[in-house]
Amino acid sequence: MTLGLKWERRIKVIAGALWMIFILTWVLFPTYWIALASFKHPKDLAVRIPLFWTTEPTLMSYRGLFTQPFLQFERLTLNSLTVSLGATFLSVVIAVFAGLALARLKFPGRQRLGMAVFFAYLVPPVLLFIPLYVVMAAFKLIDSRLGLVLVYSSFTVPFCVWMLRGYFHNIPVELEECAMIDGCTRVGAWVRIVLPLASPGIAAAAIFAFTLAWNEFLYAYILTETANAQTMPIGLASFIQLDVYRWGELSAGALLMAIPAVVLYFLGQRFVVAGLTGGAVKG
Amino acid sequence: MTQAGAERADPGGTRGMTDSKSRIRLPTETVLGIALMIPALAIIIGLIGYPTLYAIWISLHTKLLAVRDMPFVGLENYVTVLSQGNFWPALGRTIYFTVVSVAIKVCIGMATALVLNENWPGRGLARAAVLLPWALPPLTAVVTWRFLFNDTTNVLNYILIKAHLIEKPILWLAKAEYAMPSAIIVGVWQGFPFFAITLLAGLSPIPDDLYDAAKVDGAGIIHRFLYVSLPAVFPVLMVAVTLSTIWTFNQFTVIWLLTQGGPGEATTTLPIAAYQHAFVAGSKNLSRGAVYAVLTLPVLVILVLLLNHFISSREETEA
Repeated sequence: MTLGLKWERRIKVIAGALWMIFILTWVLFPTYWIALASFKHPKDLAVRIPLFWTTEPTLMSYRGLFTQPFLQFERLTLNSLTVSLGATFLSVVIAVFAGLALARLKFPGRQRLGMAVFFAYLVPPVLLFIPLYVVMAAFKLIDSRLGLVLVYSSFTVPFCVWMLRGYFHNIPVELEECAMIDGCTRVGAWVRIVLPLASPGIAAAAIFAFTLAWNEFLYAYILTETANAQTMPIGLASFIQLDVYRWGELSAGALLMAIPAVVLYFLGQRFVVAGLTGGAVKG
Repeated sequence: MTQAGAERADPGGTRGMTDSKSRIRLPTETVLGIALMIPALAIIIGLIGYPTLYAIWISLHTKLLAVRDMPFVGLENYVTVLSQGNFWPALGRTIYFTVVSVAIKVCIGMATALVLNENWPGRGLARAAVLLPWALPPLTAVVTWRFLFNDTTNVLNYILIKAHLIEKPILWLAKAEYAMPSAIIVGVWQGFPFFAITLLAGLSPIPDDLYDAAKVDGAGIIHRFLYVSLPAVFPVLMVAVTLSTIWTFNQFTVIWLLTQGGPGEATTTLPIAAYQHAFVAGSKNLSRGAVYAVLTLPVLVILVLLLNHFISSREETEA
């Protein structure tokens, strides 16, 4: 390198700034575009010269979304909420038990069980969706929200166990030993000392489990048939496959579905900066 | 595998007693531990372990969606799929989609992580913005990009023509030669933040002293990247690459919602082919679909073994 340090620094700053402008445009423009589309008047959506701004924002698309008789958007929202909350609750409870066992108790096979939970999380739905369909059909759990809760726990449980194992592991064991010396039982020490300290981790696990279930597509696509159990992504996907695109309603629905996922993700992200790197990735 | 060896040599877990982090031990520790694991194990065995084996079982039978019986046919389905199905082209497309997507995600993610690791005003906001595509539901990401690609709303083509990057509109999703690149664009858009954030987490603990020392030794910016940053993030990079390869290889939602595997079979990867055989094509042959799914298993096993290797070697260097 024959360039002086000063020049090198200038080039670095300029290249970095240009790169960030490119990245932020490519990340933010599509999101801006769909948000804008959901507030545009339908006549402005398919025009020869696209409009990058609208002077007369309207809620017509949102109204259209909720009044579409074949879509039953409220019902889809309710189903999505029920299934995601159900899977979240089930997996957090199960994961608190398993996480405590893996992080706090010494028993044979513990290390390997821990890794097995992690690898279980990596088994892709593509391998499981056909057998799970046959099993769910045998138990009459097709088109049922309970069926979806069970199937979703196949990825939310390993995810939460892995996260909480890491979180519990980082809480000093001495704290609970002190409580036990003061007369607490082991379980009493967990309830009084470990769980309160781990509450940010538990909240984060719950948040991520919820978004995983909320965003899920393939299982809901094959395991539901009617508005009885269909979730938001399934209803909106049927919208895509219509002959005539209803871009306004579709944008409004896709945006409404994204809001809880994004808000929760960023909330959870703040809880877990340490938790994820300390537990989920590092092992 | 050293962990497993240690466990086997120490069946009662007595070594734990001499641990520096010694715990107050109850004789019931093993019983309690296993009891607490039971619900999680039931879910993992019942909804992951058993279905994996059952997928193999189904692939050795003929199970049609609408028919209750499933007669045993041995390897017949495999012979059919491997000899006359669309398996090999689909495998080729899956590998192409995976390798190109992951490579681009690594490059964009690394460049973004390097810039976000510098100190500049507003980088906290930029970091949050970069995470946005990763936090979006896949459905929202795909709807957004279908909107951009669509030729009646013509935004993307309009911008590219105005910028003189292309001369006439590209039929992003309707033309076979553009469908796969379009799917890669959407997949990369959603997936690169994972690399940006994990690599940023790997870069930020590198002390400034190391860069300063390299500067004193006359290392230019490229050498500092190659000999200081890259070795430090390499273990994180390998874990991230393996994880992303698993997810990308098995990508269903983005491709299906974007192109349904089309036009023709231009974006029919193995996950798409498995779904189509099981739930769309003529006889809805679940066994045929299961064969496609089971044939992805060796790739998963290799990747998981690699991941296990990277994670345990990381633990050794940290210990």
